[in-house]
Amino acid sequence: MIIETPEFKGTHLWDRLNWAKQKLEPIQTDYRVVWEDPNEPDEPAKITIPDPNWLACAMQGGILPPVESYWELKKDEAQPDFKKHTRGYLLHNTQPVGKMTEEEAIEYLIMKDIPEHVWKDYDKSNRKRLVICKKKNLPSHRAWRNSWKINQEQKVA
Amino acid sequence: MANGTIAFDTLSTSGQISGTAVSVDADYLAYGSAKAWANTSGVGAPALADSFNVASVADRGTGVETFTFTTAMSNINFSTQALSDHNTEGVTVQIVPDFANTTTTSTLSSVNTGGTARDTDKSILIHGDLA
Repeated sequence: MIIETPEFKGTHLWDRLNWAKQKLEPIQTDYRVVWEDPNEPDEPAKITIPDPNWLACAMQGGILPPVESYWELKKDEAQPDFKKHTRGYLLHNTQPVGKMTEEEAIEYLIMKDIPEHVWKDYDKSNRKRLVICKKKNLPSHRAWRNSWKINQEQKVA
Repeated sequence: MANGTIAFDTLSTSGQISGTAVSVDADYLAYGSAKAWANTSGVGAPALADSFNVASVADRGTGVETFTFTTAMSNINFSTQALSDHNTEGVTVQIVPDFANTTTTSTLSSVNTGGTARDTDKSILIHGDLA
């Protein structure tokens, strides 16, 4: 059944998520994003796992704000005198982004939830620091979880 | 009332049941409700079983997870409540805050009673003001 997204520009993002929670089926993805923070060289690789309800919103279209809205709020939060957000309207009043494929949603999520210094120019660094893979590509046990690093020898498709 | 919306400022009871009429400002209902929640499952390959206002969870290492919100909180002083169960080894695990909050993230670490990090499923609940 096709569900039409209402015109949500100007609607608080949280209210849009309420609508989506009632109307959309969650979508579990097999994609995982493995990343290392060059500012934390001794830390293990992190793995970002998309939320199924969020992915349903991304693939439905017309719900989520442009990723640039999040970047603007992060800039505000990085100011030394930051107390509280005063530009939340960027999330609510900006024209929502359209329908995304699963892969486009993963790319959006990378730019939203992973630090910019990790994903920006990720393919120009000497060391591989970001990989999108499938769940089955991760180690099957976690006995040495805190030693996990991205395999620098693997070929990128 | 129009288009399925009821607008009101105060919710009041008649007092016929308890003998005392009470009322609550509608703003309290909006500000007091949970703004995000999540439940992870699958220790060893953590994934979100269900959630609201969460975009992703990042597995940062043994027992440490960052939950990232879709709608940002207004400030970093929101409240996080979290629960865990015994982990797969049957060890009692407690959850403690790890990194400082940002307006879009809450990072939690699960440790055993000796303070050693242990993987466990988590349930989290966020209260506070939205951006």
